[in-house]
Amino acid sequence: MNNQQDEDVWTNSQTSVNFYAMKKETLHAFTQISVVLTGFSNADLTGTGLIATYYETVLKELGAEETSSLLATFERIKISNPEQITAQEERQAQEMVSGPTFKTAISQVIQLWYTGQWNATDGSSYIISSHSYLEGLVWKAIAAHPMGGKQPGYGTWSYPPLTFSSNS
Amino acid sequence: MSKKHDYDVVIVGAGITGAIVANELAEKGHKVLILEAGRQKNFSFESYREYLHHYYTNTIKIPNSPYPQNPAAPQPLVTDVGNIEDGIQQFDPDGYFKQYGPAPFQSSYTRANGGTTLHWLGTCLRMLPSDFREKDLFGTGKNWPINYYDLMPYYQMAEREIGVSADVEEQAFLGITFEEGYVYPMTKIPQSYLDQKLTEWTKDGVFEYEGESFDYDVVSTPQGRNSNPNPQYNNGEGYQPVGAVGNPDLGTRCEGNSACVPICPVQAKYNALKTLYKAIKKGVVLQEQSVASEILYDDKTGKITGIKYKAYKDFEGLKAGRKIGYEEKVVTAKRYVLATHAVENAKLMLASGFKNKNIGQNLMDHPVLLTWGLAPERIGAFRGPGSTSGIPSLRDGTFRQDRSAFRIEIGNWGWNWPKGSPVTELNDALAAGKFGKGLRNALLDQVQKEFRMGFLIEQQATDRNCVTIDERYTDELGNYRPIINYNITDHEKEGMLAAKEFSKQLFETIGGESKTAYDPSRGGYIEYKGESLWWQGAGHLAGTHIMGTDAENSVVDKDQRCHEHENLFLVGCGNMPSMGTSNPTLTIAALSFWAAENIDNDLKDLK
Repeated sequence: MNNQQDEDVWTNSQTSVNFYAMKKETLHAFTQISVVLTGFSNADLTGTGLIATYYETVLKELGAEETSSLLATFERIKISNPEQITAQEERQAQEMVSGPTFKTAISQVIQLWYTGQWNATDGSSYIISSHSYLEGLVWKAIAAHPMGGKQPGYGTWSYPPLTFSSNS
Repeated sequence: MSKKHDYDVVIVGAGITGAIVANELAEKGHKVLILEAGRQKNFSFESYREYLHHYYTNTIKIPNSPYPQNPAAPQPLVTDVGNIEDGIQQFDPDGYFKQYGPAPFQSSYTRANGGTTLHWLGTCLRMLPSDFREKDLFGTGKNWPINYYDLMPYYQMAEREIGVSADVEEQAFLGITFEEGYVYPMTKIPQSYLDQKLTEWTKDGVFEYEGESFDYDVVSTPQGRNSNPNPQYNNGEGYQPVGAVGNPDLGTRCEGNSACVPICPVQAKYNALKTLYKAIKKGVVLQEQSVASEILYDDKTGKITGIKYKAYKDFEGLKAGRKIGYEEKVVTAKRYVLATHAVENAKLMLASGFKNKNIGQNLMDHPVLLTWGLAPERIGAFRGPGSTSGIPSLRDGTFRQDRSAFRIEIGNWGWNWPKGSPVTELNDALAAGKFGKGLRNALLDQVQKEFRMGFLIEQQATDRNCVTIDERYTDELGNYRPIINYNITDHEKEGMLAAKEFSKQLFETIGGESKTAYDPSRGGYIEYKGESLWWQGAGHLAGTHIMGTDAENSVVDKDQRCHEHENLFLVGCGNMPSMGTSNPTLTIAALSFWAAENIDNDLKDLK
C-alpha cells in the first residue's frame, strides 16, 4: 500500500478532522488501546467512522501531554494481539485501568466509545454528534441497537435475544 | 355567512384534540383557524428531522428532549422536579411551573404543532365502564355525566384516526365490549419476547392480597402505532396506514427504533401532525407563534367576543436580556374551542377572569410506581416499542372502595426509566474497574435480563390539587406560569402498597430477582405504613375543567360546552372527571370527535 492509499484509509467525509496532519502511527496506537479498553475489534471500531474524531476529542480534552503519556504507557505493555490479549497482558492493562494515574482518563475514553459522549471531570458533558450517539458501543455490547436508530425491523423484538460472543 | 366574525371556529392549540376538531369541522365546510403557541414549522420531513437531531445530541433524554425549549411558549420538563433535601422537595426555580407541592407534579407536555402526541408512547386503551361511575359504584371520585356506551361510536372514530393496532378478541375484558363485528384498523403489534416469556412464566400465577385472590393475564396493549392493516376492517374495506408527514412511504409499519418516548424517527407512531396535515389540506388555517393570552367575553351574557393573543416573530439569536417582541391581536369567531391541554386551558380561563370555581381544580395525573428486576433468563431488553403488553387484571374490582386500582405496564427497555440504563450499568462496571471483554460480558449478561413494570395508579379528583395563577409568576411574553398545588391521598398510597406487593409476588412466581430499591433523595419518594414507595409522573394531566351536570359541580356539560359561556367548547383531558387507569389520549380523541359533532350542529342551527 502506498502512502496515498494509507491516508485514504482514514478519509471520512463526515468529519472536519484534519487527519492528514495526524501521524498515522498515533491513530494506530489510539486504535489499539481502544480495542483493548472497549473489548471490540479493529473492524468494529473502524466501522464507527469515529476513530480520528475521538482521538481529536481526547487530545482536546486531556491535552497533548496526558494523551501521549497514556498512549506511551500502554505501548510498553507490548500487546501482540489487542483483540485477543493474554492473561499477563490483561493484568498489566488492569494496572493501568485501576491505577491512580490513568484511571479517570481511561474511564472517560471508554465512556466516549460506549456512549458517544464526553464526560468532563467538572461534571459537564456533551455528545460529539448525532453520529457518535448512534455509534455508541454500549448498544452493541448488549446486542441491541441505539434507541432511536439502527432499527432492526418490524417484529424483531418478539424473537429471542441475540447473543454476540465477545470472542468475535 | 356573516362577515361579523373572522372565522366560523377558532381553536386554540394544535395538538391532537385541536387537530381532530379542526379536521372534522373543515370536512363539514366550516372556516377554521388554529392558533398555536409553538414555533412555526413546516410539514416537511426535514423539519421533523431537526427534532431527531436535537434528541440524538441531548445528553438528557427526557420526554421533551427533542423539542427545544421556547421562552415564548415554555414547557414543563420532568427535570424541573429536583431531589428531596432535608425532607423538602426541591424544584428548579427556572422551571415553567411554580410548584407548591407538597408532592411533586412530575409530568410534562409539549407546546408545538402536534402537541404531546409528539412524545407520547402511543398506548390506546379504552376506559372501563366502571370508570365512568366510580362515585356510584365505590363511593370514591366522581361520576361522568356520560357512560362507556355513549362513547363507544366515538372510540371507533378515534381508533381509526389514530390508527390503532390490536386484536379485538383479546381486548374485551373487565366489562369492555365492542360492537358486533368490530375489528381494529391494524392487527396487534407483535408482543415482545419478554411479554411472551412472562405470559408463560405467570400462567399459573395468582396475586394474593388482603384475603383476596386475583388471577391475572398478560395482555397485548392496543397502541397508536402502525402494524399490518386488517383486511376485515370497516366491513372489508381495509385500512391504509398513514406514514410520516412529508415522507408518506416511511413509517407505514413500526421498525423497532425503540425511542417512541420521546420521538419516533419514522413516524410509525401516530402523532397529531398527521391529522393537522389533513386539516390544512382541507383549508384550515394554522397560525403558529400565536400565544392566546386572554378570552374576551361579555360580562352579562357570558358570550365570548374574541380571543386576544400575542403574535411573536422569530427570535433566534436574540441577545440575552432582550425581550421577545410581540404584537397583540384579537380574532373573532362564531364558536371558540380551547385545546391547549388541561393545564394551559385552565390557566387561560383563569387569566381571563372566568368565575367558575372548578376551573383549575381536580388536577390529576397517574402516579406511576416503578419496580424492576432481572428475569430468570435473557429476554433481550431495549428492543421494540417501550411497552407492547400489560396486565389489566387489577384495573377494576370492589377493592376500589378501599384502594386505587392500577394498570400494569410491562416495560421493554430494561431499567431505562427508573435507573437510566444501560449507561448506569456501564458506569457501575467502570467504577468496578472493568474494561474490554470483561466489560462487554458484564453488560451483556446483566442488561439482557432487565425488565421493569410501571403501575399506573388511579388518582381521585380532589379540589385540593389545582392549577392557579399569580401575577408574580409570568413568562417572557408576560403570560402566566401555571402554579401547581398537588398531593396524593391515602387511597392512592394503599394502591401503591398493593402494587409493590404484586411486583414482589410476580418476581417470585417467575423465579426472577427483584432489584426494586427506592432512593429517599429522589422526587416522588414517600414512606407509608413502614414501606418505601417511589412514583413518577405518567405524562397525564387531567381534570382541570371537568364535565358535569351544572356550573356548581363542573365547567362543561356533556356536550363539552362551557356552562357559563355558550359559544365556548373545551376539549382535552381537562374535561375528564376521572381517568380510571388508562392512558387518556384515546378517550379525549373520542371526546373530540363528539365535540366536533356538537359544534357542527350548533353552526348548522345558526345558518
